[in-house]
Amino acid sequence: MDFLSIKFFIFFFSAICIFYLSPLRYRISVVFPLLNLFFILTYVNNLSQLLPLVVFLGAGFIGIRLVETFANRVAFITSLSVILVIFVYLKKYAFVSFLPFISRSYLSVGLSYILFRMVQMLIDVYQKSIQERVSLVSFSNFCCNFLTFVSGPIQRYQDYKLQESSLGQKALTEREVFDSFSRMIHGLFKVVILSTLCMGYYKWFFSFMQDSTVNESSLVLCRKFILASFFCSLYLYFNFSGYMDIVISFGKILGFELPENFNRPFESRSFLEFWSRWHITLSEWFKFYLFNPFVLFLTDKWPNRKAVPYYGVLAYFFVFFIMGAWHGSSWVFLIYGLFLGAGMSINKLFDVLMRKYYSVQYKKIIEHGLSGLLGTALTFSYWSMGTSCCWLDLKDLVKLMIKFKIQGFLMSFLLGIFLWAGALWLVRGFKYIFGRGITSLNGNFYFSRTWLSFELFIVIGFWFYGFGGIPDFVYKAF
Amino acid sequence: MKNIFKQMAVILLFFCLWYVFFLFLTYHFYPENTVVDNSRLHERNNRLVLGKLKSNIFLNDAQNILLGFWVTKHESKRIIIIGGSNALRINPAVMQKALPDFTINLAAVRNSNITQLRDIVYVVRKSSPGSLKGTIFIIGVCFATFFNDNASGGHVLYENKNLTFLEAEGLRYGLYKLRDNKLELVLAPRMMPLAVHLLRPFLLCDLVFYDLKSYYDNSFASLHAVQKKPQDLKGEEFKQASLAEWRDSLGNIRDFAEDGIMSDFVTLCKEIEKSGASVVIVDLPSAPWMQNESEYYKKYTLKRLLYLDEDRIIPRLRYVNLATLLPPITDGDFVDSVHPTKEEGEMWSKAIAGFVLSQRKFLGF
Repeated sequence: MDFLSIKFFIFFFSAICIFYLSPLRYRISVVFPLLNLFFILTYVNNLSQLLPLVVFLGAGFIGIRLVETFANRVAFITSLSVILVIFVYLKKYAFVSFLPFISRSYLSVGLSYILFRMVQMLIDVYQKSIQERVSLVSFSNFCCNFLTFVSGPIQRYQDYKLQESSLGQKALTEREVFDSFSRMIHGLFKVVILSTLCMGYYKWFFSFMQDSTVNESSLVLCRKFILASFFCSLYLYFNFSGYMDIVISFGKILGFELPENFNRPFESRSFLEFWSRWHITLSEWFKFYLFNPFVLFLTDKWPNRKAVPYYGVLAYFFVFFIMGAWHGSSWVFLIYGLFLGAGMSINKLFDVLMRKYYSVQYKKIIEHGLSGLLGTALTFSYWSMGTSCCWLDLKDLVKLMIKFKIQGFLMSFLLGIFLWAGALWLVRGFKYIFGRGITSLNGNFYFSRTWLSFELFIVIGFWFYGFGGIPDFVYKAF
Repeated sequence: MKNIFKQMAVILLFFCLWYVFFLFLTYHFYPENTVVDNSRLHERNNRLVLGKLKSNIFLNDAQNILLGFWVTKHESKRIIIIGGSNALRINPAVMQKALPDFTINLAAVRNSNITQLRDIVYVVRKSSPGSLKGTIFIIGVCFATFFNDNASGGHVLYENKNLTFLEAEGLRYGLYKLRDNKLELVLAPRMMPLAVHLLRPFLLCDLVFYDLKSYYDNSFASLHAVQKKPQDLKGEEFKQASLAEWRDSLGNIRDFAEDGIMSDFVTLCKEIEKSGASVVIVDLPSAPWMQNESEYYKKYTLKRLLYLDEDRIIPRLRYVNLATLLPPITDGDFVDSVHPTKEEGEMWSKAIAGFVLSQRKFLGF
């Protein structure tokens, strides 16, 4: 079901009515599974397309049961391996392209997110972080939750279970309901208008870049490249965070507290900070289930106190390389992984060395406004350049590398820092002048409702205007 | 649950207030249609013109037809000009002077082929209660009218489907649907005028968004040199670029103007004639260099002898090669390969009006 369709909004209102009109004891055991099933069925044309998903979920559930029953390393590793093998096979990764894949079409939406949930449950059951036995209903509700099915956020099973047990015990206040609707409409605004505009411009600059003649000056080429990268990054942000706003507010209305996935990422002063603000639940997942065990492993293997910070550098590279590679099934995402890994580990190394040798000055520099502005611009510029892997295929990327060489990328990077710092400076100036006024107006009952309904009107108007050109949720493909 | 519905109702109420406000604005700035006229709409591309088109709320030539005909007063004697972008250069005001008893509707749409012409005729027929007696269809054709639906000419990609411009616009507001590659109404014809009126606030949004986007596009374009279009080139370079563009847009020469397409055109003319209307097929000239160098034009000249001659035997149908009514045409009469200059467009309009008057006995008025 497309989230930007009339069908979805009919589903939304029906779901609210059915959910609240049904007796409390049936909401989780009957109504919620039925809503999930209905939602998933809208993605398939016939039931056979669901079979791979059912097999994947079945393997996950059996694996969890095995670990619960035997509670040993063999059961855990076997279950984890089976889940990973099925996942890699269903996702048709390029590195296993020699395998005979299923030729018929099947549902692959949300597979990555189901994998994260199942692996998390498996590890937590094995480590006894989940004490109680996982029932089939809880498992299916958690893995196929229609709110998070398509692209997260990645909730922990323990958090979900807490909400499941306390569902319906507290009625939402008028303010909470209004805030939820308000967030939903802001989310629609981001997805329908802002992401569409940014997508249009990134494609526009990208096509200019492709049309560029050999004689064109390198500065013009760099400008086209960095603007295409900027707009691509903004498009990803508005699209994904807008979707999160819709999902989280929908969940809130139904009584679920879904975790936040974004916290103003483009205000991050470093790449390390960026990943604690961008796709937070994914970063957290990787931190809990990959980064920490990896650092622990290194510390156990080579227990040297002085080396511990450098283990972090290595672990960042490893974890973010994996995370980058996860973003797609083609080879270009390995380069994306290298880019992310390099960014994180260099940033961590810089941080470690500065704290070691210039501790006092470093603290002062960090706290200075200008360095913050430059750090933010540097982070955004670096990340935007990295996202070029998401819109270029390997062939185009290699072409670009040959055309640009190191100096071209450096020039684009510097130009990006300069442009983004300028843009930030303008935004901050605007906030400084008008910020207080807007905040006080938002508290006014009539103004907030008038503004919100105007926003909704504009969203509907733009939806008609951009007919057929409104982008789908970009993370749906994962 | 009470709180949820209460908040929903409050937001909906405020939304309705905005809706009514914008509806009022549209009637203030854009009074109701009296005539469908695409000539100025065609000019709005690439420049900021908000507020300059006070008589028309529709964003583009396709919308003007698909929605505009439903809210246009149906006069008993009217001329409806259909065709492609070169037919858009016909000046309705010039024709009106020569034919004062008629209302002139310029309903041509850029990149029209037979499928689009059929869709336009469908809209006109559905929006006109009763017979089309008293209506004269002037179909402006040229070689570029006869391309296959699979060619890329004027198609837009929507959800991985290749749609004609008219089809995409028809689907935009959900008032039309596609069945067997033809546009069909979703609502009953009597409901359509109301639906178009209700859409007016969003049509206004379209205009504002379009103008804002044009403004920003132009701002960005000034930052980056856009690749040159054929019309920016000169001499032989221009000709070769134009020919290449036509090849790209009209598709494979084997599929172009093939018998099926030509027969479809004849069938369409017969259908119009059956509905009570008269038909004038006007063969619009192309630039002389295009006539000499385009393989598409050469194929078309052969085919028109076979098919457009056949049309002449249908009652209330006339065919005219416009070039025979005009002084000898030169390359200078065209801004590119097929589109006439403004002055030449006015000459075309006078010549067509003169031809219609001369054929009044056959056309039934």
